[in-house]
Amino acid sequence: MSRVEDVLRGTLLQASETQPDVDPLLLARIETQGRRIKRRRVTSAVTASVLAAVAIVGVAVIAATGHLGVSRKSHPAPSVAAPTSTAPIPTPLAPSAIALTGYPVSTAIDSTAVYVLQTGQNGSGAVVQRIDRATNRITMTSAASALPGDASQVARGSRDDLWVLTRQGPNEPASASGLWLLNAQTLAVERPISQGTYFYGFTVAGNNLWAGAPYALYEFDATTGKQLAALPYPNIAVTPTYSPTAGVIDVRDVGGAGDNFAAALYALDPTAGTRLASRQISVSQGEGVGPLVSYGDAVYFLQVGGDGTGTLHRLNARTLQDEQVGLVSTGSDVAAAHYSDIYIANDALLLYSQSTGVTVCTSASAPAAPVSAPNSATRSTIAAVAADAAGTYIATGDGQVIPAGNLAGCTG
Amino acid sequence: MSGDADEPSFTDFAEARLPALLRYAYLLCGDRQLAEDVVQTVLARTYAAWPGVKTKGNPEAYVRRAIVNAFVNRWRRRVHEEPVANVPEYAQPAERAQLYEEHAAMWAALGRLPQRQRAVLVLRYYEDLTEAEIAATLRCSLGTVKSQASRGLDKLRDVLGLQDHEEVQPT
Repeated sequence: MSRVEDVLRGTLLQASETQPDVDPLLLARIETQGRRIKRRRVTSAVTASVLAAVAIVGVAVIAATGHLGVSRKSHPAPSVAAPTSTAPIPTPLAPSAIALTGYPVSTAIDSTAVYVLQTGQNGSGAVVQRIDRATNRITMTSAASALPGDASQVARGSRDDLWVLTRQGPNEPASASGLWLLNAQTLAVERPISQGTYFYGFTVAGNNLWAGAPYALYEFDATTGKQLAALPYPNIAVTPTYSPTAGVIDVRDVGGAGDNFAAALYALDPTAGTRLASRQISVSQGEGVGPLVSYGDAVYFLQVGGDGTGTLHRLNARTLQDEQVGLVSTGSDVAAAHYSDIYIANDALLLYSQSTGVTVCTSASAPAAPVSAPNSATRSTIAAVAADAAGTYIATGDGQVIPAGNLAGCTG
Repeated sequence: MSGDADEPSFTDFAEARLPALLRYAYLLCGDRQLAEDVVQTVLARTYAAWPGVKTKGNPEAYVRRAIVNAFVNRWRRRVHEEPVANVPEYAQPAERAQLYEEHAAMWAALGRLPQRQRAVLVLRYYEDLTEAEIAATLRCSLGTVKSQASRGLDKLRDVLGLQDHEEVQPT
């Protein structure tokens, strides 16, 4: 073997060996995505049993969580209330599901409407539908060709606008990726923003929008779409989250190599772009870190264990140090659960496992103890949840939105 | 999971082979996140087509071929983002420092190779496939494999030559 071949072989071997452990959520994501692909290939997949399961989901969430307002934007500081014990098993209601044209990916809400970003019916393209909250009817659908790429995220803007993130999909041009500013009433695309840039996620707070991308966090004027800054970043800004109380942006930064997977949280001064605090999270073999949400002066994330347990962290948003850590599931019925999504508002935290559909409700002010029993009836998949003080809307993976009414509060 | 009878065997396969498939994709892509994207895309499609894949036998070969093809096709379409210079810090500074200079240079040079040349070299020197097997995987001729490997190695040799030259410079 020549020297170049020898070095090449050694380089490949070394690069291979220094790879971090597999993100335990990856398999869940694969299976979720695979199920969606499979579902698209089988028409009329919505069966009566699924509908029944979805109804149970809505009812169970309602009863388990009480009031649930959901937002990844700003929230008032939580009231400190002691959690009660396990919530009672709800009496089933009959929610009137709203059938969508596609498969929901993300939701946004304002006082009059719920906006559902969906993958198109044929499995490609992105479509937004507007649901009138007074009538629970779809009043507007964006044009089929208006939004290219794969549907990724939607958020309400600071004016009468809507932000949509799409990503380049298979057999699509690079220009299918980007942010799009839509009129919230007509759902017409007013202008593309940073078209061609691949963003992982974004958050809107007031007049600013931050979008995470490889090696940089981009800041935009949320009213004009003008790019204000590109904050350099060591790895990948994944889920920027704005914390109004702390006055910082929190970003989950997925670390690169090493024997163990490393995740890092960064608190950034949004005006100067300087780092206020950082927090390295050591993740052992078989573990992973879920997305961040901010609430009051805290941020929350889930660390999932290889044994199926989920550990909920509440951090001080400014220092990123743990204020409280709690194990949210240990029961045998959730042994396989990887809690991978988290919805929050008022004092309710809804933890949702994409891999098993199990949900657990706990309190934002006292997250150490779950206040509801794990509910495995939600395995028909929660795709997104939109809520405010007046109501909750659960978008399910099979293409429906369930109005869940006015909920009363996780702590009862 | 969903209760599909095919699903457990896919899950078993994916759970068992994910680390190896990710390493493989990483060597092709040179980027952990992109490797995960490629593997996720390929395995999700495999999940949906699992009964057929399983029936044909050797699902790993099928998936590896799909990963190579996804890598080649993705790179043709990929948006090349513009990394911001002067990043404030690195998440794993020590790890970079530990890399042998030669391996670092080789890794960087690999990243500059055309995707097909890189794929050929990874299949040959990491997967230990024969030239005929590489040709079958990439669905090209044996001659193409030989020429791509030769050109790729020539480029890498140039890089190492430069490095060797620098190392013997008098200080």
